[in-house]
Amino acid sequence: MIKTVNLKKTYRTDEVETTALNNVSLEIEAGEFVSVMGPSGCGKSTLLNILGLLDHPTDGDYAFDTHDVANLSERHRTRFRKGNISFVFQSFNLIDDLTVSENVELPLFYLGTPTAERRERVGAALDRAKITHRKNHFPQQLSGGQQQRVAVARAVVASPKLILADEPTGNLDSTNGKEVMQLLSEMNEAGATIVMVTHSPADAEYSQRIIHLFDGHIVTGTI
Amino acid sequence: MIVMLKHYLKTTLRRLLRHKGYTFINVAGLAIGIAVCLLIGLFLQHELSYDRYHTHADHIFRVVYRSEANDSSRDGALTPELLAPALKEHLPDIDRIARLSTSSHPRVVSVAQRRFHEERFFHADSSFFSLFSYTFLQGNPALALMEPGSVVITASTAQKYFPARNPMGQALTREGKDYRVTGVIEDVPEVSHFHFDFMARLEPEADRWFMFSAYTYVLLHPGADTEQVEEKLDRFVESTVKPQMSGGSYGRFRLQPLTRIHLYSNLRNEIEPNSDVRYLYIFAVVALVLLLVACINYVIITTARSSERSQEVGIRKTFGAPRSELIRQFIGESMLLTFAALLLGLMVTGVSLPVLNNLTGLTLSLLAPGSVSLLGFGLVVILLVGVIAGSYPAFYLSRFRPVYTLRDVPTGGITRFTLRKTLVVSQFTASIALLIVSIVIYNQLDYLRSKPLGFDKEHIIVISDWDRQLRSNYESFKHELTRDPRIRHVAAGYPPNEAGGMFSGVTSVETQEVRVLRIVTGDFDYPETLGLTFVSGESFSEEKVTDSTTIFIANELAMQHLQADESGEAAFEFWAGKGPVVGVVEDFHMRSLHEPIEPMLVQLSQGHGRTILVRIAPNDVRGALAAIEQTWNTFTSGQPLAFSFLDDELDAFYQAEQRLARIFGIFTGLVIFVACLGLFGLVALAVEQRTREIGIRKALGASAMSIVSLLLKDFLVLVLAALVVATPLAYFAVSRWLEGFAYRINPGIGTFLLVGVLVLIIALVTLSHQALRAALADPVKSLRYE
Repeated sequence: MIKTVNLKKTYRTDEVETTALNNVSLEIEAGEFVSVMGPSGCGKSTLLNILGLLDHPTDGDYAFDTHDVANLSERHRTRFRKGNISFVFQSFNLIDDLTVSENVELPLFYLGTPTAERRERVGAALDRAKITHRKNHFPQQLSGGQQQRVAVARAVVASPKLILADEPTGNLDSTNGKEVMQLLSEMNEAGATIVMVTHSPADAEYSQRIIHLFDGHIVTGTI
Repeated sequence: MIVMLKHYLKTTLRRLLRHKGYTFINVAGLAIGIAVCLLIGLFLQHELSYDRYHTHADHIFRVVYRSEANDSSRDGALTPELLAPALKEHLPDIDRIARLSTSSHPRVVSVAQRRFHEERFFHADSSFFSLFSYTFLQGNPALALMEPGSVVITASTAQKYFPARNPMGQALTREGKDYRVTGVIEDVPEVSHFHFDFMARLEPEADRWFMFSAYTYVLLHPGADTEQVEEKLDRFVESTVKPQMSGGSYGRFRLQPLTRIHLYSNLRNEIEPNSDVRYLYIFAVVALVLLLVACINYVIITTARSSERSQEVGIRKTFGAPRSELIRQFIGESMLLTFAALLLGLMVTGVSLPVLNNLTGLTLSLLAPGSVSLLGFGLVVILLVGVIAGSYPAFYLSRFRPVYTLRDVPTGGITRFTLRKTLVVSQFTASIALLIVSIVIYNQLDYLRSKPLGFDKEHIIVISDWDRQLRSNYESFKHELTRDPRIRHVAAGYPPNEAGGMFSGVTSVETQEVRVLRIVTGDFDYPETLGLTFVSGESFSEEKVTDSTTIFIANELAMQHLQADESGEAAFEFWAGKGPVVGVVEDFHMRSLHEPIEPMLVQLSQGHGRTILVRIAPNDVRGALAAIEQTWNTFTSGQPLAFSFLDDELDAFYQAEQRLARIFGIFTGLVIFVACLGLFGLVALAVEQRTREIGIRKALGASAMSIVSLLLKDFLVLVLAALVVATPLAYFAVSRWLEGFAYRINPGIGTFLLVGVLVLIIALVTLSHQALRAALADPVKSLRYE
């Protein structure tokens, strides 16, 4: 489903040029659960951003379902992301002014899903994330674990082909972290492709494959 | 679409309620801006509608006289009574023509036992009501003024004099003359350049081309070319008027469109003081500045809070929101906010309309027919303000890239900061400029009130209406009055106000110089009553009255103009007489200080003056007035005493400026208030955003004072920059305004320094509360918070 060849990403300021990714080539099949690990600053999040079309590579190729997406404009990236790619962030990134169900509804809203279907799918996603009882609450009224379950529900509600999780348990205690990982695992079993960045070996065990990054290079893992 | 609107409406409302403080700053600022725009819109609409209610308004012109006898002359609104019949005969372009004669002083009108002083008793030709459009409640417009002694009255007047009777055919008396009511019309609309309560048939008296006593209005045939008509007027003067002037010079007649009189005309002898279109521009600009300042608040606060919104933008974009959708969302937000402001603004307008009406003497109403369409205005405001205020934040915020915003990477650089600084500077530039202008207007008005006028304007009582009975006993009345120690002097003569005197060509007997001068009449005590200062010769006295027809006192300028010898035996001649100049007085003002002092003569007139001037002792005004009233009652047959104070009348010269000063002062206050709201919001945000920095500084030992100065420094520098920008702008504006006065102040550096200090104090007060709170907060809290 995903194939990158010699992906390169450099950041440039007036005086310094930093290479975040250096010739990263990988392939991920549909339905896989892949973890990306490595020390801070090794380029994990940069890789996730590029895979999620939030950022574009400086060089190299990136094909998503045979579509060449490496050099899409921001507008086209947004359009491509819609319905195809979803995210779970370490800091949850819920919108404070939306209730739980409205936050989960957001991707469907931009997909233009009809109201009745939207309600049905939001209900199902909330049920799967076991957070239906808080659907009318606002994010500030929830615990961290609950917020992350909402974020997971939001990530799966539009049935995307790819879910990208960036340290999803980083801000959670172990109990909540475990719950979230089980939830992601269930999503993967239900057919979702998941790429997860994590520092936690325990979390990585939920995945089928681990890619190790160091200084922008892939050092181990099956490509 | 509706789903989206609902979604955005919901989230926006929640956000506005969650951030009540910033919502208040934005809504209150915009509401004030909208209310002021609405009020000024109503005022402008009112001013622009003057005289437009007449059916033929676009084809009616006032004939005015442009004197060309000397350079300093201005156009006069009065024309000779002879003009109308002659024009009707000579100019086929004229469809209808009517003369109007007004009354400058109140006279008693009586109906049986009802007696009132009436100032608005006018006279006009019978064609008046076919030329102008008034709604007749009773009577026939075409016939109402056909019979001698006929008078048309307004509905209010009918109610006043004939409360329970049909006014038609009823008799009334004025100055011994009987009139019969032949028509009742609705009250003259406020939006008219003249207002009357009585319109009697004009019985022309003056038969000379240099006696200017009537206003002449013409209705031209549709399609008539005004330039051609004016050329014909010139030819008419050459062929008909000048031959009758025995070689004397004569000016030209010009046409003035009826609908431009109120805003563009400031001639001699206007019927009522007109407005000035420049003030309309000024008010419109001030209203727009205020609205702009409020919009800028919105932009500043919204962009300053961008870090908070950037996360939302990131999330929405991540989950598929296109940029256009976000732009629509943010503009929609600002429109919703504007809508809330509009509702509040309408309430503010409703509450403040009576205040504005009180200040302006108008009766503006939001609900009056023909008023600004509220719905239309609301839509325009929401669209315009919403889009103007919302656009920049919308484009700015929607540009954020989720890859940065979701990871706390700074979203903006120097551009954002510089823009916000520029906006704050522009707000304070407007505030400071308006404050300077306000202070200069106030100082100029103060100067006008206190400038020596060449006579003593204090403690002079002006009695304009005195009946025939008193006129015949004037000397006894005067003698009786002056016996009271509280009465210093009594004179009959023209008061030194705009309407005083007449203009005539005057010839110096010695030099044969001819100049058009203002001539006022006064009796023997006139110079002493006014307190004129003699530079040579002496005042009027019995001994000076020789065989000549009259004697004069001249001002210095008149002597210069006629090249007369001030110390010698000058003598002048004009159409009504010839005589020596017995004294020369220092120049004094007969008109407002908008105009320079004129060359003028005081002609001795014994008992013919229309006004009695009484100089009273300053220490017992009440007693002096009682004494005057008592003597008055002895000499008149029950006529009520109507009087005014000369200094009040002179103050009325500057009514327009006083009104301007009051309204300008209020608007300036509002602009400063709205700008300060913005500054308050901005410093609150700065404190919020620098909480961690403040905490660290305090933990490292920074004093509260150093934290306060750290926070204040940035903003005060902006206010100072605004002062630098505003000063030349304001100087330019006030210089232009002051050019309208012949006598004016020179706005010195003091004014600008004063404003600078004032604005800095206002800014400091605005900023201090937040800065102090931040500086005194426990650093542990701020660090823990972070």
